[in-house]
Amino acid sequence: MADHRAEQIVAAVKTLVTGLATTAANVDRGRDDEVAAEKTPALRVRQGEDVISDPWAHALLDSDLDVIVEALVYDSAANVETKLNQIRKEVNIVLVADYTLGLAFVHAIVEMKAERPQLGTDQAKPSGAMEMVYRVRYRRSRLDPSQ
Amino acid sequence: MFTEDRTAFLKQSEHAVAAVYDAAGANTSISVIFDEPHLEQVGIGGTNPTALAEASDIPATGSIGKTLTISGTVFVIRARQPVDDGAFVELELER
Repeated sequence: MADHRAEQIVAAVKTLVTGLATTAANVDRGRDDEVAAEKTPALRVRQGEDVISDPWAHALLDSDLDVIVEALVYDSAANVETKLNQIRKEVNIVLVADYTLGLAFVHAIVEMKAERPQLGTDQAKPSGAMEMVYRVRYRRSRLDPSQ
Repeated sequence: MFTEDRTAFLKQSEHAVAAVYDAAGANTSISVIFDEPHLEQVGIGGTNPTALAEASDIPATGSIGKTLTISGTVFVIRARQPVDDGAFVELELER
C-alpha cells in the first residue's frame, strides 16, 4: 500500500534536493539534533503544517502541506549569508523545475518564504542556518490519504 | 608594592602551550592556555577555540584580525576579552 500522500511529497522533496552542487549528499530528514560541522554545508528537510482547504468536501480533499528545507553552513572561506543564498538558489531551481514534483496528485509547489538567517557567534568558523518554506497543494481521498 | 608573577599561570611544563602571536608581523612567541570545547550553535556541532593569554602579550588595540598560531594551526583573533582585573585576556579564535 502506498504511503500517505504527504509522506510521498516530503520524500520527493528530499530526493530532489539531494545531490545539489553545494550540499551534495549532506541531506537528512525529520531530525532536529545537531549536524556535525564536517557534514556541512547541509540541508534538512522537515514536514510542516498540512491544512485541508475544505474539510467538508465530499470524496476528495485538497490540502496545503508546508515543507521546510533548512540550509546549514559552517565556513570561514565564504560569507555565510552568501553561501546560504547560493544554497537557496540551488534548492529553489530544483524544486520548481517540475511544479508537480513528479507526482500526479500534486497541483503545485510554491515558495512561501525564507526566514532571516540565524548566525552562530562563538564557533571556530562562522556558521549560519536558514529555513526555506515551500507549500505544496495536493489532492487526496477523504477515506484513504494514500489515494 | 606587591608585584604579580603571572608566569606561574602559563607554564608550558604544565597546562599552557606555546603560541606565536601575529606570525606575519610582530611574530611574538608567547604562552597561552588553549581550549577548544564542543559548541553547538544554529544546529551545527562545532567547536569554540579560545586562548587565555597575558594581556601584555596581546596589544589592547590592533590585535583583532591578527593571527595566533598554536601547534601549526593558524587562528584569527576575533575578540580580546579582559578577564577579572585585566591582567589576562581571553581570545576568541577562528580558523
